[in-house]
Amino acid sequence: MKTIYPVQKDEVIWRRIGDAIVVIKEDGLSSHTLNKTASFIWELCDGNLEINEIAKRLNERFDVSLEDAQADVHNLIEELTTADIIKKSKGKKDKIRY
Amino acid sequence: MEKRPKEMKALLPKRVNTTELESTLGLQIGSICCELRCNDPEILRKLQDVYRNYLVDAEPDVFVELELTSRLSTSKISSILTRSRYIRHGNRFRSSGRLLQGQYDLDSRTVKITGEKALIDPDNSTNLLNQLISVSYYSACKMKYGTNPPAMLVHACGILRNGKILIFAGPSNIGKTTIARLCSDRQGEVFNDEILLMSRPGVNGKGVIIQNTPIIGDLLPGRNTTAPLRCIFLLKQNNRTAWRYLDKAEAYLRFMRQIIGPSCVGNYDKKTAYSIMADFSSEVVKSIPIYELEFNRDSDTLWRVTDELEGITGAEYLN
Repeated sequence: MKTIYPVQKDEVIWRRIGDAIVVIKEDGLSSHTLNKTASFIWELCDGNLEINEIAKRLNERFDVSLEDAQADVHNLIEELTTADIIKKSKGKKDKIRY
Repeated sequence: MEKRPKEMKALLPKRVNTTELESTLGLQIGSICCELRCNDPEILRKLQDVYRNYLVDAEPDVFVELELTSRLSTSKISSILTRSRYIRHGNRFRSSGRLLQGQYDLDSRTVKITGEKALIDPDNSTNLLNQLISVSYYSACKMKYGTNPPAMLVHACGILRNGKILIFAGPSNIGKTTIARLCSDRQGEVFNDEILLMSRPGVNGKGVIIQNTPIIGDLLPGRNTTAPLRCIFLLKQNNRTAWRYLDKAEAYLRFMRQIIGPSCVGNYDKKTAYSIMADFSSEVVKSIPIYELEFNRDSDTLWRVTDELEGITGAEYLN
């Protein structure tokens, strides 16, 4: 299985508003509001953490099994990639290769 | 000329003496003074009249030099405007169709614009005066304050009521002017039915302050004055009048869309522009209660519903 380091796309603008994170795309028209769990995952998508490491942190932070956390992280990353606000990098950000 | 409504008269202050015409006028837009110079005395006289509440004698932050021409008919200009777009190249800009062109110099804080007279004529319903005001304001802010304007222009109607401003925000045709027209002298004072200046929360240790602007909506702008903000209503037309709290994320997004983007000379890239708007919206949402207001254009119900909110502090919402 390939190692994936999800990273927020440079073009997006995001702000924490209360418990949620609101992500706005560069066109200023499309937006995504992330709930508390998704916001936690989003903030870890800095290009330096692999998907399984993010799932592990989710498991430590919230009352969710590691298996469920892995599924949640995987699904969310897929969703945010499709939404074009996350990139999947094969390497860490400090030596990034797209 | 588009016929102005009778209600406009109630908004107009006393006329100033415009017989002694000068070649320039100083226009106050919030904390900014914009000096307009124009080669056309007739247009300058009209601008002095329209902006009479906003004329100041202060050190200008930005100079806008207008050189007006009359090459095209008004109908031709209107036709071109509908499909016109702006092209920038370095410190020069022009519109497609050659309706206007110009250049700016940041060192001397000067913008020179050559364009068709009808674009600046207040009597022409398709004039670009409001865009000129907006760009002049944000350009001067950028020169004076960098990427952190102390106040932003917001698409909203403001009503001064019981010493504080109620903001009714929303896109064109949502009902801002309708609300202004539903406001009699007994119910409040209309600031503006189109665009207002909203300060960042906590500037000078105060809450959010609303300042009227020389923006011309369906009604002419009222007094050049300020007042503290009570709350923001985001408008939604419906067959009833009712309000509800918006959760902060929704309020943040919807309010952000009512902020006039900081278009200016030496334009920001898109991300910087949206970041400025996002920061402003998030600051406002944390400080000011924002409600959705459905309304059915009935005056009594509108003011009864807003009065219900007078007893609500919004503290629960803000916490």
